[in-house]
Amino acid sequence: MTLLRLLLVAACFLSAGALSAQEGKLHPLASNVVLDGMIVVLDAPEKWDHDSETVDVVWDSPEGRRFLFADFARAGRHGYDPRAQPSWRGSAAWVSANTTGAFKFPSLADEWDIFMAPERWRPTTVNALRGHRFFACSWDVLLLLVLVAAALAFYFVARCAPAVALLGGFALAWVALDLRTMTDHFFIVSALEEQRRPLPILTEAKAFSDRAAEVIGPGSWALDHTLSAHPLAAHYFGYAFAEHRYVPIAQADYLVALEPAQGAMVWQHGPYRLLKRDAP
Amino acid sequence: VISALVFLAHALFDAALGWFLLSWRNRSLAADHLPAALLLGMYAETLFVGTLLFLGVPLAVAVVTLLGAAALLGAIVRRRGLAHFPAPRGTRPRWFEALLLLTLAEKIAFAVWQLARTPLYFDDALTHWAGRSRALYGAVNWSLDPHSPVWLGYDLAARHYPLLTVVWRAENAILRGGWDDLLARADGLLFFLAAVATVWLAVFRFSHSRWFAALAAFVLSAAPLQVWHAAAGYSDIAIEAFAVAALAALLRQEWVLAGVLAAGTAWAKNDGLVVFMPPLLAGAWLLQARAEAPRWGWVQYLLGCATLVPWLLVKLSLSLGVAPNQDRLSWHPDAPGLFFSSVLLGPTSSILWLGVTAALLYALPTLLREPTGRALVAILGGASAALFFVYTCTDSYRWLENEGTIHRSMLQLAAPALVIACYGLWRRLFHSGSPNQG
Repeated sequence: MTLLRLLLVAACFLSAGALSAQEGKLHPLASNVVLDGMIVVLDAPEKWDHDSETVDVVWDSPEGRRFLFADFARAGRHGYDPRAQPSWRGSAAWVSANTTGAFKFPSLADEWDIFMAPERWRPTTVNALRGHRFFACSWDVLLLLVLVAAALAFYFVARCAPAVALLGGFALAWVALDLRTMTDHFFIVSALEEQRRPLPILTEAKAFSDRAAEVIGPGSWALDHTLSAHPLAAHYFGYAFAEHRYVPIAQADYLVALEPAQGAMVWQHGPYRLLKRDAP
Repeated sequence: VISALVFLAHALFDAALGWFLLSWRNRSLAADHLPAALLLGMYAETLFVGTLLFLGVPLAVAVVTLLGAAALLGAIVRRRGLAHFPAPRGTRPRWFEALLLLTLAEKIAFAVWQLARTPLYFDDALTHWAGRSRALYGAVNWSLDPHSPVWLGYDLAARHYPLLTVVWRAENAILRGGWDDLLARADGLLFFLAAVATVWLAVFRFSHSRWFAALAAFVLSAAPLQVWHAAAGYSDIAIEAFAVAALAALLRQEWVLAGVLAAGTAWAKNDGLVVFMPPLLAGAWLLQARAEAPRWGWVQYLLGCATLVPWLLVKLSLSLGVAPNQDRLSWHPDAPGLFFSSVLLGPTSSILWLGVTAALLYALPTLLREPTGRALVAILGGASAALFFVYTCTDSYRWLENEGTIHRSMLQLAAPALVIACYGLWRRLFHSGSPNQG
């Protein structure tokens, strides 16, 4: 087992940075297995959930091709569903994950658990939602089945005209969609309020900028080029300091940076630094 | 609490301003006009202040001038005779309306919770909308000099974007005496409510069916992305509200108002110039062909659109384009497939667009037989074709590929498409005196 783990660790390091969390600490789940229809059930620490870390599942095909599945970690033991991934087909020489767990055929409880995985509040949520899956199928495709089933019921039981029955089916499917959406809203609110979960990415940027804005005062500021590695944080600083004089870097009294740069550090929080510069 | 009160007072001021402006031409206003009055007030107010800003007037002075002008307008309209506020009829909500109001309350609560308990978070709000607005309010990072590093806000934001939400939020901060994250994005909730109310009332106006109108409002309000945009601080939901209000005004044959609200789409975001104003213009032309339409309706519509001229002149004089990345035209063969997988079957709009498409295909023969139907088909067809062209034949394809903006574009179109689909369905299903009507 130790040898296998060492091999997996070495193999994952060679796979050039595909893993995002807990890199190198792989836990074997299965070897020489058929993947079709199977899922993984993994134990994730609460911190991973709070920090929007991912659980990573890695597997090799018998030919030695390596694949990765990643999903947001949920605190505790939960099911994760790689079945939508085209590479989760056929046989695997081994399957491992960055936390302990099991490789298994899903029970009804597992399917429900996967379905109830909440929508995540992320920077991209305003553009596109991740959605849900139930019985290895997209929730939105299942809603089409709900629509058809309800329409058939309206047609045969209530004797509605076909088009009216379809309209009724659509309405019921939309009600189902809304119930699931409201559950997501409930989870998001309770997660942030009860568990004090921070919003991903910007938490430290906000704490930094609240104090940095006071320090900058009537002075001028600019963003150092190092912040291009954190574009969302850079944009947040642009918003947070919008009432303070913005100037080109060469003329700035204060520089907001990720790394040590020219100037004396007057405030630091997380990876962000506020540097006071000599009068230009 | 103070911010919330300022926000509510500002919204009431705009609704009153819009009501005054509507009363100028029409003394018999109905409930349909309430969301239109709010949007009209926001448009008139921000365009007035924005024009003064471009003439070099400081923001605070422009706001005081606006208050004076609004007071004068109010006095004149009261002397001429203000339209009566539509009194509630006292009818009790039916069970489906009570359920709709309950689900709507959940959406509002979720949006209000976001506004009250979370910081401004999403990228474009930080830069183009609330970011520029805060720069305008702060005054030190706003200049009309194209050579300044803070020309129309600093270089983190797109300078060619229009100013409806930018000015509205900066005015909030002036009235509040300071900036906060609630005032930076709370207008989204107004646009959400205006869009839902407009759909509800517009569908009721042509169908006279309470359940059908409630169903349409429910479908829009429960579309998964809508409630996020009610508190995100983006301007896409503003376009949606203005577009559906313009469409509803066209259906009521209120030509000038429809033109003004269509101009509001372009004052909210440049997409309005490309996606909504041309098809609405074509729709107005076709609607004029109805026997009962006035002869000069289309000209009146154009007069309403002409209120946008100050902003168009500013764009022209400062060489502000429409989009930064559409200088190359090329067909992307996989784009139709992406549309199908992400828009028709994806989780962001769920099955909304499948339902709308199916309803329109079913109702198309009926719609094409009558002038109103043809106009509505032209509006939706034109807007859809514009979006399809932008995402399949320009550099914006990448925003379809990575789902960066495609769903927001579809959100802009959702409310007008829903009204048109409902109109078609109603004409096809129930108009011929079915017992289901009513």
